[in-house]
Amino acid sequence: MALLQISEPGQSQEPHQKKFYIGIDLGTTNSLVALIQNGSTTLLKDKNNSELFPSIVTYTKNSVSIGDDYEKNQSITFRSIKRLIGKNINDIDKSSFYSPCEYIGDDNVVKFNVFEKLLTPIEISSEILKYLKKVTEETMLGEIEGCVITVPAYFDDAQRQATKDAAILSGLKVLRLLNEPTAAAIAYGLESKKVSKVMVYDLGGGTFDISILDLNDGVFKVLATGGDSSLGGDDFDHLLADYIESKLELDLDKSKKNSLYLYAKEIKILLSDSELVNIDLKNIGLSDQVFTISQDDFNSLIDSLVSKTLKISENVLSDANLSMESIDEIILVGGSTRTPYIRSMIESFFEKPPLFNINPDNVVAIGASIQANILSGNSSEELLLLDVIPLSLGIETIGELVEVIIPRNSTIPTSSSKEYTTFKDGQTAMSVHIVQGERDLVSDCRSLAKFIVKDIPPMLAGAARINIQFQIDADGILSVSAKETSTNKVTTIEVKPSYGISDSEIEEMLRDSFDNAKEDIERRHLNESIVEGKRVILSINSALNIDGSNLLNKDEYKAICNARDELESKLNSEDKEIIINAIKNLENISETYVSRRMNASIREIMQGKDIKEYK
Amino acid sequence: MSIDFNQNYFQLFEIECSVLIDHEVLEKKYLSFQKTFHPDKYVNGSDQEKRISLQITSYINEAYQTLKNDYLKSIYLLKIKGFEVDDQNNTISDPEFLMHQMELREESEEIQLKQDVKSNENFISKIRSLKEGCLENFEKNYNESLYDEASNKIKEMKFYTSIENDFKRNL
Repeated sequence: MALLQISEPGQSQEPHQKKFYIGIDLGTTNSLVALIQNGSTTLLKDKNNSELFPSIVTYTKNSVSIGDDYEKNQSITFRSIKRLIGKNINDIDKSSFYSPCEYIGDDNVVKFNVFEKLLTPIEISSEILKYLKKVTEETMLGEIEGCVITVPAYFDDAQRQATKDAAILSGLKVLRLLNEPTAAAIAYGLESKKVSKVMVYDLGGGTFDISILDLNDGVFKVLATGGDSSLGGDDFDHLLADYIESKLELDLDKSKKNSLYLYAKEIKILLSDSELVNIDLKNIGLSDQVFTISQDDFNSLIDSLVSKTLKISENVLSDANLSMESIDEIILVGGSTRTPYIRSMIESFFEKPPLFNINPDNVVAIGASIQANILSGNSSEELLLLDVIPLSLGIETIGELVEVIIPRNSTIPTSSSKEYTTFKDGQTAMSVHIVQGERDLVSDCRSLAKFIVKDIPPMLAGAARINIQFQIDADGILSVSAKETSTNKVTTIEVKPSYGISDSEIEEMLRDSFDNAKEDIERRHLNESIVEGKRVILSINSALNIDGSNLLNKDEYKAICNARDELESKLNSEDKEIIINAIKNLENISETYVSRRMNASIREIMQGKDIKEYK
Repeated sequence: MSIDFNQNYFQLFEIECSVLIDHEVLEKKYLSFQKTFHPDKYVNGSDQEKRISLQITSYINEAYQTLKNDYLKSIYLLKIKGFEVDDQNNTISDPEFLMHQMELREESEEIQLKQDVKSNENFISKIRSLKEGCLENFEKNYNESLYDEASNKIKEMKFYTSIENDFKRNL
């Protein structure tokens, strides 16, 4: 049937044949998917016609669902799972952390007991990605070839790796992890300006990021980045909930407190547009009391957090060796920048009105889709991104001190090597502890991994030369290799990640998900056959329109139309075999037509063209 | 796709091997390298292409960052001359400089207590001009092949950088 699709030279195949490249903003509160079609950006919509896919994962005993219309009975619902990805049990702030079920922290990785199955935040996040993938492929009638997923610039190695692992588990091919502020800067299309310095202030639900970028002749270079990976709009909600609780002298248990917190989130959103908002807890059945809160009340609640973001911005400016005046544009990203108080604080602090004309919820996904399009090679746009590593990488040395190997804000990809030696005669192994952070003491930094370099040839103490190479790729993810240089023997490295999961665990999870996903696979095959059926119908119709009446006699024409209608009627049969048989039948009946078209088009090409062109 | 990894960083960027370099040329060359070799250009390439692009851009970034930073560049210049600066052992034995070090530390603490924006700015620009003077002295020593003296200037540079960073961190 492929032969039916004869395209003019230089013209592309049928559009539905296309493979898609998408940008995914995997957010704390909501996730978005964007893709470029015919040069313009489309945001994927859910069944309620919303571009925001709530990052809410609900498990029941036998199913997983994504979104906010979840099963409330006998179910376990995860919100803001991004706050936990790639994190150690000890990093989690217990005061603002509400777990929907029991959890354990074996080997430092948080695992939730979901109906007797232990799940990590990586697996829970992968459900969101799986869902986005499914919705995209069903909407676009095609297959996702690759994607760009955004992460907060401040994400450390473990958090990046965990995000990538979640994507692998969901079956997505990640072209690049892109920092959210960088994505926003691309979305604003500032590349039309020849040279400028841009600051991106990104306050989302759970994270705060600040990045300073330098745009120069089609190259977007990140000069410095910083932020706080656990500061965001959710904290405003907690502050507001605490305020209501103390004002009304309520004494709530954890679950009621969570309801109040969700209510506070609604109040916060209302306060962006109104000076005064009535608080009425009857709605959520907590209290009969009613009172009114003003924007000023709310502003003074969040003032210290907003000041904290400005202080961080100042530090990042100083890291970039820039003054406030040298910034040409300030871009606001993230739903929390809708808060009027934040906008006015930024304007008065930097003495410059910030840009927010692109919807701050969408801007990151839009930027990611532009980058995905550039990476796919489909774009003619000459834009190159040079990003940096957000936190210094170091190793533990004597006295639990950190020796920095790659300083923060180094442009990636980058590498560095260090030489070590043995301190005992005949020593054959050596342990290396890698940490990430800016502090001097190992215990104040995040432990990323412990490596054991093995198979060192036995020599006198100090004679072995172990060269350890640290490589950071363009996604900001670290890999390590080691070599004994005096004998050139390649030693092996055993990795024990302190966070996240090891490669073998990922394999196991992938196998698991395949086993449990038989139904998914069948559904997928059915969808594929429907897509294929639709494609065949489209191409036969367009061929018939062009030359059907010229190349076919009446009976032949009718036979093809009948077979086509037969296939059309089978598309809703919910049976893959029936659809495939109908496709085959149509293909068989059209065979003569296909070969006549071939001959005709060859004749047409040969006519009127000099034979020399074919040399 | 290849570059010669045996060239030194100055040769790589085709700039003269000296303390003061033309940053505009460096920047231009750097961007053109990135546009050619960056892994983003090989997303759909073979594994080998991806690996080579990663190695080349890592090397280019390392080289660029070394030449951009006066302290790293100075160490590198001495390395080319076969003179290794012990980065870890940065004790300065000159008693006069030790006195100066202590005085500056005290001054920085006093200014920090004042919490005055203007005094903070003044102190930072004072440190920066001391650092610049240091680089000038390094250049002089380097050009006269006085590598021991030049190496001491590098240690002084390191001290000024660390006092500036500490000061800014505690603001």
